[in-house]
Amino acid sequence: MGIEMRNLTKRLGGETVIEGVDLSVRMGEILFVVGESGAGKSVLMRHVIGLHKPDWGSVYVDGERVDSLPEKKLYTVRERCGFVFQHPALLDFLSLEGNVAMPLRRRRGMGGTQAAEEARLWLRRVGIVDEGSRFPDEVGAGVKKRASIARVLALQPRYVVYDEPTTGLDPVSARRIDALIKRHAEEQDVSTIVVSHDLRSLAIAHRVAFLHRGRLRATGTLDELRASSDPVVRRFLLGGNPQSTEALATQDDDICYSYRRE
Amino acid sequence: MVIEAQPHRAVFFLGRTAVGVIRTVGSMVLLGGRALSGLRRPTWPAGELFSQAYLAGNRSLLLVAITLAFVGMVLVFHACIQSQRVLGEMSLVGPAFLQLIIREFGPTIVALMIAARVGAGISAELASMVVTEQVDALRMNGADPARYLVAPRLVSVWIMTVALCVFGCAVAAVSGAVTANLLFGLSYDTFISFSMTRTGDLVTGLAKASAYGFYIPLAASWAGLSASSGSEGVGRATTAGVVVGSLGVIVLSAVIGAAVFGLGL
Repeated sequence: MGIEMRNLTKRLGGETVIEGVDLSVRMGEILFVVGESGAGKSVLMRHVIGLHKPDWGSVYVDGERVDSLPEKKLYTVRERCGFVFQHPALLDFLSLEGNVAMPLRRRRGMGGTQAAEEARLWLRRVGIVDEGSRFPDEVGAGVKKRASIARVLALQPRYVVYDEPTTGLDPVSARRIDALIKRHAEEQDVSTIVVSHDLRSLAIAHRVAFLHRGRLRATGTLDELRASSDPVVRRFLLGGNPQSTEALATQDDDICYSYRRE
Repeated sequence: MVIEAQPHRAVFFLGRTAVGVIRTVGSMVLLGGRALSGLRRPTWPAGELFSQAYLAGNRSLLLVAITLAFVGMVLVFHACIQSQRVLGEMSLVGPAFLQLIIREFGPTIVALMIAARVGAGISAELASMVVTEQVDALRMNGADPARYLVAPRLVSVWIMTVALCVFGCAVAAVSGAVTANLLFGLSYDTFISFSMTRTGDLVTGLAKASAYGFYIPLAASWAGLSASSGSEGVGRATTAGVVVGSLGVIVLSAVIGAAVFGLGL
């Protein structure tokens, strides 16, 4: 049981974005999928919930092949597998509470009052219950992000995929999100996949998968990756350490890092 | 320099265009079907129908009024001059103008205004929802975007388009009558005469207004939901919504006109 991707390949706009990726997440595990921007991390994860169909390969959720399911049958997969989008993706015309309550009404069949109570409970759990009556354009990025997480967690899925949950947030908000992800994974025993290029978040990972130019370059614990002899992996992990800026800048094989000197 | 004819390129271009048109029409029909199936059990938020109707109808009143007032003035001005020159009198200008406005110009010009104003708004709104992943979030939450987003827009814009077409025809008739009276001394009684307007003209006008009212939000929604990522994608989708909407109005006008003519109405 769990989520498994086998030999996944995806082409978008004439370019191969994902190539031959084999990846799985075990029950109760926090798996981080890391890589530079444009490495194909988000595209890879959208295959899990059927928002992308692979050109080659297959995706299994709880042993059921999901990549060939029609849209209607994907609803059951999406009930089991929550997805926190990179953008908060809150509906502008609903309050934060309304955004969290909406899937509870649609998916759990709750009445308006019950869904609103449950929504407030989850907003409290993510620490923004006082903001519940406000609309998405009235609150900051961190609050929106937490509301989008509450919307997903309220359905109590067995798996949760977070797509860059800390991108664009200040360090305090980012660490708060990390703590929230870890606490929920431990308390509810859910499998968690976090797509990120925020290396400071790796502290909460059980296992890390490193994606480079659409290919899975390395997997293992954070310590195993740190001990890797692969120069691409080492360079990426060094990028998260401010003391390594000088070392990175002296490497002459990739000009994209040279701006760090300035 | 010798320019060689390259017929295969022309064939390739025509074939690609035909495939594109068929694909566009096909995906629009599918979207419309899904949206209409959502009308059996509405799932959109309470008040959405009224807010969309307000945006499409009330907020377009001034634009439609000004446009149709000027169209009425210009058409009647030229019609009076020509009528005076050719026939030596202007008694038929009013009846002919009213028939033309009800049957053709009123609904079509109002629809073009709605395609530009309301269609652009729908395309841009839905496209920005696509690029900010709100549409994906809806799908994740078990809501079909066609039923949740497109259906209420379809219903409200359809009702308001028909209403605006009637309103636009009335404005054009009044402005035309005022122009004929002030500039050419034609009495209001002579001008406002429905002697040339038959039931078929009314049916044609209403049929066109209904068809436009259904087509414009559908084309705009299709363009918005087909948006690619980024602000550039929103811009392209908005342009596509207006272009496809306006072109469709012209094509529908010709098709309905031909069909009505064929039926002998």
